Amino acid sequence: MFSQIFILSPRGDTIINRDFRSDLPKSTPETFFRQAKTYSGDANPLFAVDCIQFAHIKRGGLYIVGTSRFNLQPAMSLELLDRLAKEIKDFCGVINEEVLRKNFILIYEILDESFDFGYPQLMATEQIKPLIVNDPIQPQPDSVMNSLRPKIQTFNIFVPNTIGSQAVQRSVLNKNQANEIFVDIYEKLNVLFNSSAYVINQSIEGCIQMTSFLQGNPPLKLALNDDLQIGRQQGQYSAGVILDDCNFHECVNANELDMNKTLRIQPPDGQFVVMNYRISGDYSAPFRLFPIIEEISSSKIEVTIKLKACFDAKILASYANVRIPIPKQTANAYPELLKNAQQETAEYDSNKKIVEWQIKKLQGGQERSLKIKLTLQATQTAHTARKEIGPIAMNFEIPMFNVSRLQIKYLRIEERGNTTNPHRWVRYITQSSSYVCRI
Amino acid sequence: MAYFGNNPQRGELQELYADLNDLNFEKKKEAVKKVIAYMTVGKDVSDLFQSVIKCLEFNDIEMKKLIYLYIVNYSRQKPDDAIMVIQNFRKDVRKSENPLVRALAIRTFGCLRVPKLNEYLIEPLKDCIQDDDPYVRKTAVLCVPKVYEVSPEICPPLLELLQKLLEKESNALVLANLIQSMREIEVVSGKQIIILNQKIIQKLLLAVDECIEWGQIFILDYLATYNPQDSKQAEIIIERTLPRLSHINPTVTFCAVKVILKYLDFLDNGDLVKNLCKKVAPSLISLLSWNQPEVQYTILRNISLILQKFPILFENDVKVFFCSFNEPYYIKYEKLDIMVRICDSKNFGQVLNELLIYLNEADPHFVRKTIKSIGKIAITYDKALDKAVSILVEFAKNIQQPTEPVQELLIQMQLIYKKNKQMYKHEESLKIIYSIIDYANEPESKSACAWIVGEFGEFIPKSVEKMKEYIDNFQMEDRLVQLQLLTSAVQLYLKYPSQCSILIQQLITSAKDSFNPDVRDRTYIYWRLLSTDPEIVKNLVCFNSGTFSNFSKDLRLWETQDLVLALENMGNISNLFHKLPHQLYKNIKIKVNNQQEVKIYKGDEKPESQVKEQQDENQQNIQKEQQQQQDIDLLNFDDPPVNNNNNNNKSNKTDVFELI
Repeated sequence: MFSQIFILSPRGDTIINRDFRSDLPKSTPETFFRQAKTYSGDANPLFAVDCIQFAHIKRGGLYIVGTSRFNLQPAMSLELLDRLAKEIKDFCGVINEEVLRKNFILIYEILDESFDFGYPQLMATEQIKPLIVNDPIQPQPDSVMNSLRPKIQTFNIFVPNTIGSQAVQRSVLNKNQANEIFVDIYEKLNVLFNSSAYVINQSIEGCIQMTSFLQGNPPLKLALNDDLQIGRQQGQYSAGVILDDCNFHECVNANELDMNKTLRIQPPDGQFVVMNYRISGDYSAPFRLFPIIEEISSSKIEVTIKLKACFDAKILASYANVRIPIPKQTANAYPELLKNAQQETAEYDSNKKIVEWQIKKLQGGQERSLKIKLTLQATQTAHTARKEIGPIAMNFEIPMFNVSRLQIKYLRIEERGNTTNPHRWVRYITQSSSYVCRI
Repeated sequence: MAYFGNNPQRGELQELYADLNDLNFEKKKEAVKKVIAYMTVGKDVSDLFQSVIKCLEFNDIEMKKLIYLYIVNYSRQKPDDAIMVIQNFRKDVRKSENPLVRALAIRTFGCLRVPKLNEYLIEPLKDCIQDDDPYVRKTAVLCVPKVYEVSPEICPPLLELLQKLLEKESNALVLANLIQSMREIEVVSGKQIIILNQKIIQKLLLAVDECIEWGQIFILDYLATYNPQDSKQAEIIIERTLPRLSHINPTVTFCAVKVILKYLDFLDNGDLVKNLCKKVAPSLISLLSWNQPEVQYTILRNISLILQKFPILFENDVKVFFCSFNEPYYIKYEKLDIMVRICDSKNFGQVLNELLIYLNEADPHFVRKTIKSIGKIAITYDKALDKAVSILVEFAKNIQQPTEPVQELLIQMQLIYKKNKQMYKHEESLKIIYSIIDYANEPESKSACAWIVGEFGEFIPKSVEKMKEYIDNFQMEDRLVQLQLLTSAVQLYLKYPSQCSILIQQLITSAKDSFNPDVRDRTYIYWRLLSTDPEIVKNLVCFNSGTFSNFSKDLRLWETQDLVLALENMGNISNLFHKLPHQLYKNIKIKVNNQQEVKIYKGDEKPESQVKEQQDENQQNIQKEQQQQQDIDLLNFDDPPVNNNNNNNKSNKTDVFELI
């Protein structure tokens, strides 16, 4: 279990340092920081120095570090730190150096309730709230520090960069402002095409996430599609939505899911993932790529890529980026867009040997295409070089659209006689996780 | 921020001292907060100890929390002053109405870690363990390992109390802490502390349902080390654990998997086992798509371990382990490894087709690993041999440069030839491999080439010239290559005595004075033997060992008897290194495993206990290997897999960590 937990500023100053077991030297934070700085870029989340294991995560530019000498579960240590960060965020609203320094007493309190002797104890915000005596101190909004504050990282599993959510940076402790709840359905797609646009492998990783600011945390009832089915039999095809596997947050009672497709939820404060699910079956991929490679001469290759958006015309993808790796021996590459192309750019990065094709908005049903003219260096022939083209990878985000057709039928507050009608916001977002076309 | 040095200025301390002794409560509180702030940044404020603890007289919980924090930090520096606090602690524990204060006091008391104070602690701790409030009990229970660590000799009465509590406790959270703290003492002392009976197990299983997630982990983790009495009990435990598979916390899911896999061994009903395997597999696959690659990595490392015992588990799910292009390389490498393990007579085609595509990747290191995997498949699964070889040969056709993958290709081809020497049908492939032989530039690949030239001299055009080329550069070569060259040259000499006699002379002259004793000795042995009786040399050098059954063994990570212990530690750091916990941590003592049988679950077959036979077999094999080894050493074979394992165990610890 954890021997110590400490939080360091980006410069390595100790902001919080709680020692649970006193079995490690006092200089351990310095040891950590020195080691973390030896990495180019971000440090490995887990590493060991002199038989001390360090697990850390970075939030708001700060290092949150747990140390141990025991045979602990690495996945668990990272999860614990993540939860701790969530707790601190729930109490303080944001995580940054200034806020933590101002609230260090509060954070020691949180740490003491969350861990004892390095073992995790109560780690849910609403469980420890009654045990905490300090109130969070908000930083002065007009201070100089504030304008210099680093961009706050949210620990969303999925970070949509198009639709802003109002459910941000609010402390759960001042709850009297609004009575509302946000429900997001995120889906990440993994698709692998071969060169003739035939799908080799596909899956969806999805989740239903809630951010609750409901007063009094009333029990909720969430209903999903009627044709929902969990667990797939070998070789079974069905018209309904089949989830291969799913898991639920502690506050969710899924006993009725099989019967009438509803989940009973006792929502905690703030953000939580109601349910994760995984679908491996066939679904119609939202984009299709058709690459054509032609050898013009022994030193020239022409690559044409057609992109087709295969979803409803009412839906608009907020962006779609395509990356095409080209041969290392390329002397030059000229990407050409169609003449009538709008809100599109295509650039060749000669260092990385990659052509980036960016499309800002793409309506369902539309088709775009890109032609790349490659000139090779004399050392390689077109015949061998063409093998180095690809695989083509796509990144995109489609709001208000989900591939699995998993839907929220309704979200009700179970308490009767509740006069206030809270605002309920539902969003659907589909993103690419690994969307690749081989050549 | 300006640099203050390690000690606050005299003036600052004095100011704090004045504030701490001020009559105004608020002022005192502010001063204590400042002291804690100094303490946090590592400044020494231990001189204020007496003034700080004086503030304890106020019955304010916030103040108490602050001061206790301070005391924990400095008690070991000032043990004599700390004694003064004991009265306060005892008062808090005994008299306070507020369970929070009682718990706070006992928690802090436990953290003092001053041996001579611990005797004062026993009585209040006993009271707290029997407290009415579960919050106090849960805290008190965790105090016992704290005390045990510093002064184990005074603990036996406490341990008895814990066992009693285990029998009657009904609160899930307290139970979880109880199990965890007793387990820690078990690990530290190596003794068995927890005594389970049917009733307690029932209770633990109930507690799993009610507990917070971390408590669930504690209990499940413990249950995974328990051996049930009969099939019925195992079935009940599995049944109660099944719902945990769909928990959102990956560690809970993983612990549940651990428990279920462990108890499968004790089930009598074969169909049930199969059904359960079908339930476990999707949960593990879901964990693989967890958003943190680090978690994915730990799961993958453990899957390769699970596969050794449960080859049946992912029979139909090879696709899950296909690499996607944007994954970190450490994930890709693990997936390659697992694909090799999962490969069987049904799906080898699918796996090889996928690997074929990886050969086009840009990263040479990844391609190298891919080639290694293809080679492994070819060696391990006879049915896959032809297809694997044709893929490798096709790859060889397009080689124009001495790249990293080429080295691996040569090494793997050598192994394939070595294994299938007697069913020689590689004429086609040999031609192509021979054409790229000049691209070898690493010791291993060069020695592989030398081996090929020696072994297949009669099928290769101009093999003698090739050998001469090698021997001309003999002095420049690595020891490994030199040893192989000696053997190969002798082999070739036996095939073409007239053409090679000068060659062998030249070789012996340059090798007999080598600084390396191995090279020198081998030269002399061959020299003497050749001059006495070439027939003996023939038997020795052209040793035709047929197929090597032990080739496939290196897929095994553990000896079968260690497998149970390894599975109990599934998910822990030690398994990340594919080691047993006591090999990694000196402070862990292992319980001797009293389970005799280890079942291996293969596809289509009913689980059968094979260990006894296997162990005997192993024994024989090892003896045989040792015998062979003596012969084989002269031929410079790769170390047999058994030795490899030992080497791995010794390998540097921090190195592996870098992989994470």
